[in-house]
Amino acid sequence: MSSASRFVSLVLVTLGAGALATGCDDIVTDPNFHTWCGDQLCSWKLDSGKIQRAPTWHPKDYGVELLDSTDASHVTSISQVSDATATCLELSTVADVAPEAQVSIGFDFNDDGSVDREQTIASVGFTEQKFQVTAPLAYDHVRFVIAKKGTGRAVLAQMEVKSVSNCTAAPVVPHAEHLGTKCSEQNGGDECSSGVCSQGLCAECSGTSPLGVAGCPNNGTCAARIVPSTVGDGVTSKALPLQCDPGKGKHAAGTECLLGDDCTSGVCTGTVWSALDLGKSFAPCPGSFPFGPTCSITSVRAGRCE
Amino acid sequence: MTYLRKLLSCAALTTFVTLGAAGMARADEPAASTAASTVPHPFAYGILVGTNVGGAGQQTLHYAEDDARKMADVLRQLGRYGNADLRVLVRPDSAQLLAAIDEVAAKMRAHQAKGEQAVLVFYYSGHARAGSFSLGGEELAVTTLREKLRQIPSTLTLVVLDACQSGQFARIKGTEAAADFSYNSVSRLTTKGIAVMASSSAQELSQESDELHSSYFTHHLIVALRGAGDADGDGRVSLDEAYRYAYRRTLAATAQTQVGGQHATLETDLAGQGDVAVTYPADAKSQLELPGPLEARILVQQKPSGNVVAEVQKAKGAPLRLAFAAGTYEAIVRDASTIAAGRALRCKLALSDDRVTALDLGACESVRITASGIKGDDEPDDPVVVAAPRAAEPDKVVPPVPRAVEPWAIEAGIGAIDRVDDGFTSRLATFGYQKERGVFDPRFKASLALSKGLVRHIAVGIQATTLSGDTYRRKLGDSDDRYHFDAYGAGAFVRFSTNILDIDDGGRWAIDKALTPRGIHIDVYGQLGAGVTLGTSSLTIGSSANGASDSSSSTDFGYMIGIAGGVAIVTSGLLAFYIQPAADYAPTLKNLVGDVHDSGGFSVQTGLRFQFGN
Repeated sequence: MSSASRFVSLVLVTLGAGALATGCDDIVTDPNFHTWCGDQLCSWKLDSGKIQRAPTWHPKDYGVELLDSTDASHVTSISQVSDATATCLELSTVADVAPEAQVSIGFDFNDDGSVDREQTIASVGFTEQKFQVTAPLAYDHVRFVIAKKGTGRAVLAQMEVKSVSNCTAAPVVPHAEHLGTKCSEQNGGDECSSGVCSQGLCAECSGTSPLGVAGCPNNGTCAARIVPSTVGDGVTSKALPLQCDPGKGKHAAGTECLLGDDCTSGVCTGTVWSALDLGKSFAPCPGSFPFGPTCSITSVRAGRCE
Repeated sequence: MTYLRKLLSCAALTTFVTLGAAGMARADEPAASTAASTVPHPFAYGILVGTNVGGAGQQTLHYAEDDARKMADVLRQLGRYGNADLRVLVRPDSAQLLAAIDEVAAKMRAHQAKGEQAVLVFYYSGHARAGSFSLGGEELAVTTLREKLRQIPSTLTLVVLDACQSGQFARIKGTEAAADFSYNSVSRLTTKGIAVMASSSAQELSQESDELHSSYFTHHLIVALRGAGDADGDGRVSLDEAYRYAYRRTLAATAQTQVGGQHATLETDLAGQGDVAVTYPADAKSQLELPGPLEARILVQQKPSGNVVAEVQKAKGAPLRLAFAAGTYEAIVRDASTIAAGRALRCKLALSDDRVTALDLGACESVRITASGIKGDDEPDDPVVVAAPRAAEPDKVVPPVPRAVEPWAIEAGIGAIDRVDDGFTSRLATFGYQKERGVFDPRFKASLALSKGLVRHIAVGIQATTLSGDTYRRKLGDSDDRYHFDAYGAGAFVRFSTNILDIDDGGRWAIDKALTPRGIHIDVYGQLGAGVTLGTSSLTIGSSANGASDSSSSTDFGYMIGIAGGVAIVTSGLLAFYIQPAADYAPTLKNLVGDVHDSGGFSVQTGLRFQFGN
């Protein structure tokens, strides 16, 4: 391994360790819903419906009340994305929820828009409810979604998520993850929409995977895209998945792609790139690919060809 | 200064019964006596009974046995009795007492057969209860003793009973005992028959005095017999004079005690003419003469024993002679002027045989009166125990009030109270708040109360107290939250107490449930209380990251009920130390979920009770 590769690996390990360390404390920001920006929670995103501050056991110890939604979906939902990658998550919440309110807490690993695990909140009179979720073997984000699908009182006082080590259940297996999303090869590619997990990423092929070879159609080349890098041109980023004939314009409309040159149409939309600026203390790099000269790609989630 | 010891259980019974029919009053008078007599002295006998020990439920007396001895002494010294004629029985049982009476009765019958006159003095000091005398563990029926004495064929029988409700003995004619002195009954006094003198009426209790080291009645009767009762100055003290003096002094001394005034009674069934002389102070070899112009209270103590042999309120007028055995005495003289100056005169006396020693005030030493006694100006510590200052009026003795009923008291206590974990605190834990604990986990508790006895054993009061409180913290995300609450209570209580041990200033102790105004007594008590509570709380929710915080406070009201018990050690009648475990239920603090916090709990307090007033 070159010195450049070792450097990149060190950076990534350091970042991962930082994420794990963060997971030892509260994984959720503003777990007691105290920080409000106007009529919205500062650290939670209102996805649908309306919310308001509501007293809990004390008139001045507020929680968040999910109001009945007037949207067509009849769903009131708030969510928060965390970079934590703990293997075992323990969630506790203190809530006063009427059963007919149908409140649940969802876990959307990798933040791909699909909830991978959902837990109904059955907590009346501000009692505590606690449960554990064994995280997927590999993921890089998790989005917590609090959703109210019915009507009635639904006040949450706090929602703590901590990294613990005593989960006994089998890990959650996400489904239909995009190309480039972290995955576990032990699952045989079940979590990937492509059905192939190679080198820890959902891939189109696995030409070098020891667990099985998924080849490319028409004798295509299974390779990772080569992108410019501060650590040297021509280096394959570990964050890029294996593709069939990357950059050859062979992907039909509707298939997964990273860049436009993958598509026959020349247009690829929806790809999400993430990179850190090695020249700025690993700050996230703004914008999208191609990034600046000191940025190193850390992840990519495929889009679709037009 | 606390003066008397009050006996709430039955004390002593004293009665003189004169059952015979001869003339003590006609006994021979010495040539030097002013009470000359031409009648030969009759044969005289005395049975003097003293017993400190009572029956079940009766406390031990302190002076009954000494009183019997003192009475024998004064009769021996001044009553023209021979030593062999006086028999002192200390703690006899019924059989011993009845045997002694039978022995005297046999002698009386012999005198009767010879046509000789004979006199019997029967004195009893000890316990009695309704209808019987308590002789140790035995009860001797009043009727039995009365009939036994009446069967003695004496010329004159004089019975003195110093015991509770002793007046009931005097119903020798089936009539009610006189509640007050009646001169008419005495005016019929003659030289033959029976006279019964009782220390109290048939409904009253008799009392002892620690100050006098005697029962009130016997003390004043003895002082009367020593000469203070000689109202007409004829050198002898008649039954009438002795009774008058003892009646007044006993009533005055006991009038303001908690037990109440003690009315001596005298009932007679006498025939003939003339009065009955009981003692002849003029016969005494040594006498003390109090000057005629002197108007003061004089306390005479024998030295070095310190025994009080006389306490006299001398009125201005004729000189007063008191007969004592030769020896060294000390007189404390207090008149209106010395009392006003906070001083008294201390006079050292040396009485010798065959002379009358006049009290020379010019030779007396002026001394200071202190709370614990009297001290000379140069004496750092040699208090003379004397009676408390009295009113100037001769018959208005105002002894200090004993404490059958607890006086007003201020109580201040400190201690610790445990904290109750309940639904309220569990809810705090649910919301992530954790108790803040120091080295000493229970919470400090303080209380202040004002109490007053209603009746014996029962006192009521009001109190203010701190209750439990706590601080809880929650560290959640960036927020460092703090919730603190305190509670206070105010209410009333009723206390039931009883004495379990007395240790008087003489070092004597007894588990007799008596109240001692001096010394130490130990009470146990139980207490019930109820009142209102006030709870205050504050909540601070803030972010340690940006320094922003929001504080709010609130107030709750509730009630409390409590039960407590304890032990109080009362010293000197003024100060008590107590230790008191207690349990309070005080639902006060409330939250929005409906939980109510009990701010009471188990506690232990120690404190001081400052007693004041009467």
